[in-house]
Amino acid sequence: MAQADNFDVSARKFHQAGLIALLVLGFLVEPALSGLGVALVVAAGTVMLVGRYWWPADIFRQFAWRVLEPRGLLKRYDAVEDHATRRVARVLGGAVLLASAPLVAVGQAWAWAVVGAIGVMILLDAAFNFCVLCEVTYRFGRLRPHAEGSAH
Amino acid sequence: MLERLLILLALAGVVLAGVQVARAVARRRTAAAIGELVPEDLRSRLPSGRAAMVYFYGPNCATCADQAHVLGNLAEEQRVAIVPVDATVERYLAGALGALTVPSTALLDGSGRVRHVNVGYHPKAILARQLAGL
Repeated sequence: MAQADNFDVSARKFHQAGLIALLVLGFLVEPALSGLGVALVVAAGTVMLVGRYWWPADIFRQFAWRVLEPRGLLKRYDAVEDHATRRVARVLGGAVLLASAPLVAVGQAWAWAVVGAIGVMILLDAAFNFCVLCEVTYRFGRLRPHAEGSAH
Repeated sequence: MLERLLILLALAGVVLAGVQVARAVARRRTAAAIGELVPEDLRSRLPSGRAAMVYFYGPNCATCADQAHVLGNLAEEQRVAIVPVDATVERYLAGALGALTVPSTALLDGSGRVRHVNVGYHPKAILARQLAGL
């Protein structure tokens, strides 16, 4: 099992909600303001990827910690969570979003499906504590042959 | 923009429907295990006469670590034994108890009968309520 530490779950969920908002807004405004739509996808990708390694870029968490929680607008809730797997998912998701942005910019509509898939994964983790990457790992793990304990 | 708004609404509908279908399938699968004695190889690992929480986990599972901590807290506060089972290794046990995914938990009473099966991460309040109802 992965190692877990205490984390601010409220800030994590606010960060995830912020990313979803950026992607939804980008998708909605893209036909009218194509540059802005792409910029929002790039912004979401940057927050995910760069924010993982350089904390000032983690703007939604910073906003939650510096503004929302001190003013009582967001109630801090700490819990032990495994962030090792989430960080891997975050880097992968951010990279996919940044790679999709140029494709969105040149009018490849299917690139929005890729962006949407990342958005749905973030939504499932934020709303239902369902980790798609974990599920995929689990399913692959179950496909592996085992010599004992599974021969029933 | 209206067209895209409709696409988003449809996507939200598909996600919600998917969640409901997954929950219904999980309910059906776990219903068969409720009230049954657990398989003998698992029963031998249970403490006698004491409630136990079988905890199905998998490797590289973020929510499993979250669930493990909740269970650790529960075991400290209440009289329940935690029995971890790697669902990718002991697949038969996961199937027998209706653990469709990881993490999953199954609450067993002192006689080794399944009383509740929780598919997916469950917070401490729900697990504590189930324990209190034994």
